[in-house]
Amino acid sequence: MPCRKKTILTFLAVAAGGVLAFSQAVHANGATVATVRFSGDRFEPAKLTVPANQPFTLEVTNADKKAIEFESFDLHRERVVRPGQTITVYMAPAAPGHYTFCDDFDHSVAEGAIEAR
Amino acid sequence: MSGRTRGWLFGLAAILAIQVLRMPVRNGSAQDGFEAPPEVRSAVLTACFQCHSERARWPWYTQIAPFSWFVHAQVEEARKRLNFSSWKDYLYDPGTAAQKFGAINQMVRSDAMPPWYFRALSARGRLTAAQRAAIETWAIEGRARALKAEPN
Repeated sequence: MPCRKKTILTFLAVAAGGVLAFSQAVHANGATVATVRFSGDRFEPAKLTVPANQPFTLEVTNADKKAIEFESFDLHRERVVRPGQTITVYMAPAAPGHYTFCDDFDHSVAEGAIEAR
Repeated sequence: MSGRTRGWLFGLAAILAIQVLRMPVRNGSAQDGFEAPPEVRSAVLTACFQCHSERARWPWYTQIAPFSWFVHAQVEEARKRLNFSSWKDYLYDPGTAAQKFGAINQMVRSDAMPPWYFRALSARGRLTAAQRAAIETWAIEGRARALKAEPN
């Protein structure tokens, strides 16, 4: 393979990886918007990465047939999300760290996590 | 020594032994940032802060096992559910604020809070009818304001 072609392919692979890694945190008008979807008794993605020390919003979609209570004891957030509803949760700047969230209506659902870096 | 005496002695020894398992007294920042009309703040400070804040008071009897285990577990759970020391943080997200206001109103109105055992143990847990009414009105108005700010 010619060297130039290899460089371009490497670049594209790295770029694609970067897009995948940061697909959980879309930057719009300077504010970070992260999204999470609840379906089949689990949060997807289970782990989100957001910038530390900056406010961000989290859009939570409940694609399941039952209501959930999006709860993060670590981040002091608590919201009921009805089936088919998408809510916006406003988050204050978080110090670097690992913050968990869960469905407080059903503790058998695996916890999700927000990583502030 | 009769069997009954032996039983009492064994019980006493067990109670003394479990005192080794002490629960750490933990309070966070003394700043609470909780703002409300004076009558509401005063009532909440007296009746709710004991469990729902980082400013819990730990009288001597809360250091005696197994009672201390129960009290510490209650305070931990209470702080998880509603911590007035994080009040400003709740208000940052109007949806969360609406839920917290709604829960406060429901709990006070239904007489579920302060819990019966706190009321039995301490006069601080006994809210007057006027204090309950003030908290309920404040919570209803707060919820309405929060819902207006965040309709979803």
